[in-house]
Amino acid sequence: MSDDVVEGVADELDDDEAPAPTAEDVLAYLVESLVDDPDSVEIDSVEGRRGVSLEVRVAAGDMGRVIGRRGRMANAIRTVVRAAAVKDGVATDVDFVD
Amino acid sequence: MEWVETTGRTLDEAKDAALDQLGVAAEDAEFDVVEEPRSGLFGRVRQEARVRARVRPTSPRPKTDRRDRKRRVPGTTAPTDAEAAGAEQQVEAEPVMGRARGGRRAAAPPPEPVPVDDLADELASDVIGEGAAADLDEVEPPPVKTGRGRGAERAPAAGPGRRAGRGGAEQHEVAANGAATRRRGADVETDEPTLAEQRETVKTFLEGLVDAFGATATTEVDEVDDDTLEARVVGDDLGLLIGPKGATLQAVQEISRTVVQRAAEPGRGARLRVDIGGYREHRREALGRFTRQVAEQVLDTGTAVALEAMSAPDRKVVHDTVNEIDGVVSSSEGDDPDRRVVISPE
Repeated sequence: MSDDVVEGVADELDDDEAPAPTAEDVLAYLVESLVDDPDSVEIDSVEGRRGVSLEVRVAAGDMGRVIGRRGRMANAIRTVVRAAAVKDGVATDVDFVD
Repeated sequence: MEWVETTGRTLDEAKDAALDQLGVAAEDAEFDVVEEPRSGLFGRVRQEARVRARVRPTSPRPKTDRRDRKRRVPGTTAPTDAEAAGAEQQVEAEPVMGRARGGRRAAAPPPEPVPVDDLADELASDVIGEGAAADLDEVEPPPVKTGRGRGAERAPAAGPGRRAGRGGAEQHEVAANGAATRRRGADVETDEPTLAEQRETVKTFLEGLVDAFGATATTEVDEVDDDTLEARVVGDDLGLLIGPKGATLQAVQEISRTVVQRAAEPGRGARLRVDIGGYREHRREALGRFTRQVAEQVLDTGTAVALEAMSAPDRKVVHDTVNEIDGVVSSSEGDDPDRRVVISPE
């Protein structure tokens, strides 16, 4: 189980520890592009039975932005992150945590 | 923007037909009902619904003339005549229900000569006339002599109040002028700076995304027209970013649009199309070829053929292609997302 927190795309990722480095990179990049407060974006990766779960936390005021109308943005983000996860060879899902 | 006019048995049908022609979703279109449908006995259609539609401009044009007309009604006597004429026409047009609107528009009172003072007043007070009001500011000597030049100079970026040491009144003036100029920049100068900025935003965003994917590609963004950007990401190994049936590409486009909208002033975001690895272009070409094949088949057999359900932009490709071929016509049936194009002999 790895719990490292990714803050920003520029941060170095330890490939040995992060189970889905590309997916995390892409997720961090997308979310930070959408929010007002990129510094508050936190991503935890949690390995579970069905692959890796990426948990996203953003500033309270930014949650709506990331999720979008009827969850459209959230779904679009999931789609792109899953595509990125193909490079990591693991199944991933994205959870937006309040 | 171009208006299209379509008919249908119901308003919805007419609107759907218009959306097909425009190739956009309902939320991006603007409708004008020209004629309400009227049904005769036993549901027979006596008059088809007729609508006018166009792609909704991202910043609706201010309805200045309508406002002015309303404003001018009380006061002078001359407009009353014009109004009366308008009313007369309106009554004439009334029995032909649907036409009433058109009639009224045609009967718009001729522009009244307005005394210059009033005009200036109106421009200055009218919210929509801001751009013009700013122009007037420049013609009149500015109350504080130094205010104008500086206001114009530092208008785009700097906020008011940067020069804290100045006298209060003068600073106010500067701020007001700055604001006026800034707004004019956005309203009157056809959005050029804003669009260029948005172009950069898209480019930077897509480049960053490709980078995060660990891929190498170049991104070009073209200004297709005043408010449309087309981004093309070209490179190798972009399959992941396209996804099955372009699903990932679609998601990338959606996120890019939101990023652009966020960067722009509210309501001023450009329309954006994103293509990755030439996917959309190839698809368009393939769809065009396929449509021509089907059209030939229809010409040979004389039997109409329904295509599978497609999105509005795809249907537009089909309609446009069929349009170029003599002897066949296309129409759409059903409701989104099951709406499909039917190609029939003429």
